[in-house]
Amino acid sequence: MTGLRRVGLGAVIIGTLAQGIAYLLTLRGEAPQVAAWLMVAGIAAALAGTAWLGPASPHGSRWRVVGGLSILVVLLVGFGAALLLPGGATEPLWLGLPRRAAILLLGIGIFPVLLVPTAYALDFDATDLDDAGLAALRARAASARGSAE
Amino acid sequence: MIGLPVLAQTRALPALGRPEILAVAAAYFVVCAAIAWWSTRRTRTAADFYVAGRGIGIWSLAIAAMAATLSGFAFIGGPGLVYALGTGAVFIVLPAALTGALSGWALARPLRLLAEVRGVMTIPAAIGARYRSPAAQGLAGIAILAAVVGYLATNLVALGLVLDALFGLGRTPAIVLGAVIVLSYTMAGGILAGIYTDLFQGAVMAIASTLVFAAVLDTGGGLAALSQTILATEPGWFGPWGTLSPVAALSFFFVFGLGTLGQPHVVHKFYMIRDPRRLRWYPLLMTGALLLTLLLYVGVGLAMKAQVLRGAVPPMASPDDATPTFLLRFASPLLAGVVFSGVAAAIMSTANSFLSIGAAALTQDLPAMRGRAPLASLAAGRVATLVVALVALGAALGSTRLIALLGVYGWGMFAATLVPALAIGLNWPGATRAGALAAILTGLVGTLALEGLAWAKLIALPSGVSIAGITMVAAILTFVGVSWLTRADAEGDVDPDVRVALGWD
Repeated sequence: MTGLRRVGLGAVIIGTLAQGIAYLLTLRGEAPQVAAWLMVAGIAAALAGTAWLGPASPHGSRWRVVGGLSILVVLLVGFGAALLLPGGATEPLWLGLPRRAAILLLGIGIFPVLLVPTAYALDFDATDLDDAGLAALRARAASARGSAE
Repeated sequence: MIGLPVLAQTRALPALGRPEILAVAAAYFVVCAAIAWWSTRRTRTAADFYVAGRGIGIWSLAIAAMAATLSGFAFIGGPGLVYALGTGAVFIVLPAALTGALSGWALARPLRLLAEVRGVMTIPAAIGARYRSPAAQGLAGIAILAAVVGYLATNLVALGLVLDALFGLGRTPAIVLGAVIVLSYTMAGGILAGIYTDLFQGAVMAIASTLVFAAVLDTGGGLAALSQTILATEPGWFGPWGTLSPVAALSFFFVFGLGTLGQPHVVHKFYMIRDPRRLRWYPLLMTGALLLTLLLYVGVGLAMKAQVLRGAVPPMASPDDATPTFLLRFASPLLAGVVFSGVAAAIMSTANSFLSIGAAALTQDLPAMRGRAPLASLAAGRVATLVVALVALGAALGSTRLIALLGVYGWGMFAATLVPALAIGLNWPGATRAGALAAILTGLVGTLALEGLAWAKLIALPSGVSIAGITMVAAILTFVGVSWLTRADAEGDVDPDVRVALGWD
């Protein structure tokens, strides 16, 4: 198991645990602010970790790291700003939307479209996915199955 | 209590029988029928029926995945929810910018290569192959069948309501007609017919949504004017969480973000691509199409809230009236026709995918659980499709309360039963068969029990705690915990050829 995968699995587990604790706090009617922050951290960790879980590329994982970190930062900053910034009827407009709503809708809803799928495309390793590569994979799998039998 | 919304229309729509709307809708159904007829002639084998003969291009794959992801909820229920809850309702679709890439990273390559090595055609079959476990395959198949029947029933009701509003057929005949339409092309052409109708349907959805968003900006005086109207009267609606608590809104994001990786009607499309090298572009194409199509979801709810506050229209009797009212008051009849066709398209594409995966579970996964060979013939697939459709239709014609129950547990069931064993397990060599079985059981039993208790009003959860969220957390932690306890079995729980396919050897 590669180092990045290990980090990814850890992030998914820690993120899910944080989410579970947030649910427990909410069920007990305690500390809604703490529950909200735990959820923010949990969501960011679990989703970034999922990006790092996938199969490693033989050409390195630079763009996978960038993709996961982008998710982590965008979610922590976006949700964090929404929790911390003041609101109300006098809230300034950003690009036609109230500031905090703009941070969420544009910052989390739109901005990552440019970033994360692009990181995925740059990370994607297609070298062994052509017809010859697939045939070699099938042959290796058949050989492994044969040796096991 | 804010649980998951029913992800389909369950309330009657206003009559839409204007000639222009009818003409566009009729043209839409004629084109769908022509595509279905064309693709049905190309369906010759079980592989064509269940995985489109693994011959689909990347554009078709991405648009079809988008169309299957979004049901009619994105056009009717979702905008209504935005009208009612404000920004908080957007959290259901807010993860859309991330989920395409996440499913690409975690699932695209492992699933496609497992199909190459093992010829698997269903998501439970991938789970069965990963853990060398017919029991895990069968249990996942049962979970899929349980969720499919509920989800499909609500979509058949939604399609019936759209057809009733368009053609004035009456609720029950319209539901039956909608079921017959979807069933006929799914039975005849399987997923191959579904993919190509999805491509057309997805294009209709994206175009309709984009045009409606332009109409929203035009009639509302621009985004800033709409925002100022709402901020002046109800600033809380346009706060970051809308009328929800932060925890409730974030819970939506968690369930619909991570839970997307367990939606079999979407992720099984990775099996179908002809050239896996093209998967590089899947997230960009899928996410772009998804965001275009979601413009209506956000725009119409926002516009109707502002128009009501301006006094231009009376308050909605039901939030679900937001889209029909906007279209009938502010859009041209031609555009309204395209959008209502888009609603039908969204429902039909989702229903078709459910029918296909339900039939596959019946013919491929349940026999495996009993140690039998899959039912490989095309005829078996068609009969299974008919059986799934008839069961769902029976549920659709049942009580409104039953529909409400069925509608809420579909998404959560998929997420809780499949995310751990599939999305994590295909990428973690340390996961074990016992962990997978325990997680699938936790998701299945937890979802059925808790949703049933909540439906019967025997339990009430506070705002922010969704049953789907609880069961997904419980299933993931169970998966990790049991796998750790049985870690000595991890190596032996994976066949050597599967290790090769997953890149572990």
